[in-house]
Amino acid sequence: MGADRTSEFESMALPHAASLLRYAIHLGDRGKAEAEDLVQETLLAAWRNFSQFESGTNCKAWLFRILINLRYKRLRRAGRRAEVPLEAEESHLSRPENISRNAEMRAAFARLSPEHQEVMHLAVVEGFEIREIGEMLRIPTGTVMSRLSRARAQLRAVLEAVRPSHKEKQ
Amino acid sequence: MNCEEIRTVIPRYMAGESDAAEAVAMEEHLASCRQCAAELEADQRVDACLREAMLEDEPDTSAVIRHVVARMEHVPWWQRYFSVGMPRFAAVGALVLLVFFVGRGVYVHQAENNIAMAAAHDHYMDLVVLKRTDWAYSGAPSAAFVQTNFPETPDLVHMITPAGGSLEKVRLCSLKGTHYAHFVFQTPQGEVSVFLRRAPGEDTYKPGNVHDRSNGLEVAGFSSQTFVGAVVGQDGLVPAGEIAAQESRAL
Repeated sequence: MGADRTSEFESMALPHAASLLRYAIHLGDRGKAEAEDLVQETLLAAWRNFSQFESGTNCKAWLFRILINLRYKRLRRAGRRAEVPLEAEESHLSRPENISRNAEMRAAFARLSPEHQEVMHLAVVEGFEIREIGEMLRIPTGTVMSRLSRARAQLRAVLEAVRPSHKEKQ
Repeated sequence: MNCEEIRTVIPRYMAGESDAAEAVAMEEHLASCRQCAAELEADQRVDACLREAMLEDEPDTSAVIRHVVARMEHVPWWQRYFSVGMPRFAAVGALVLLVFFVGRGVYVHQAENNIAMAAAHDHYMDLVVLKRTDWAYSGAPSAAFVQTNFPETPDLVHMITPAGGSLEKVRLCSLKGTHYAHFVFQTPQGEVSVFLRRAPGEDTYKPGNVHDRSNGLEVAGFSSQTFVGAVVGQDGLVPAGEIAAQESRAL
């Protein structure tokens, strides 16, 4: 691939590395090293197949679709479903001394089912459209919306359980 | 809209993806229903808090970027010069240079390896990364596919199914500009791709035998009097060479 193509890839794809890594860390099962490895594999697969990326479409959504497919492949190979232990999420997303409302929110979020975390993360944190999320996860848009509704309701319920004052503040 | 209908479409409204009519209906309902308005406000607060919490710590991507950029610089030559979407003249020019400098023997070997690597690439992209949707699945759709593309060999699927396997799906694909049928079989050893095209009496390049180390795949080419093709599977799990030999005998 030429220098132009290389610089195009570097300017279009590599800036999304942080979003990809954040998602991989949060939904990962074996910690940060595994998440970094998954993001590397995603970006290299994207680089090798950059000619198949359609200019004018959402590069970030394309990268996430690749990452999600590669992650499913790894989970299938390992013969297990995604599991998100509470402690794992906390250990790599916040400093030990930072016992804050944000940490509390992350801990509550980590208690949702993997399916609900997936759609919430993609919609709320990464800002993908409902249609894009449906394409990434290969589910109908109606399912994306119903999962979002249930995820929000569950998250509020978890927060109210661990922080009774949360309800009052709403 | 009643409360139940409103709650169904709230995620779309919150994402700013409602059309004008839905947005107006939502706002009219919210103006008159305190409970739905409170639900929406609570959801919006949760979203804002979640976004802030998840974006608080920016993950350090320096190691990832360093590794990716280093690997990008070492993409194998065949991927750089023969990747899909490269201008055709560049590929032709590179091939002419190869013939000129290295000789036809090496050229033929390389061309066969290129087709094999293209088969591995197609297997990887179709089954792992992009998961294309234009497949004909087993049963009537795959029977129609065989009838259309291999009318002379109606029993083709039975002939090429690996031992203990079953056909999952099939589609047409292009390997270095030549059309092949890409059959995917589920076998006890894992997914197996069989690429196949009719080439009766052609003096043609058939896929060679290669290992795609970067994706952990093995490719084994085969040919008969009527067909050329390749078997692709997970290196070390799927006995690609053995299946290719069976295909050669069956066809």
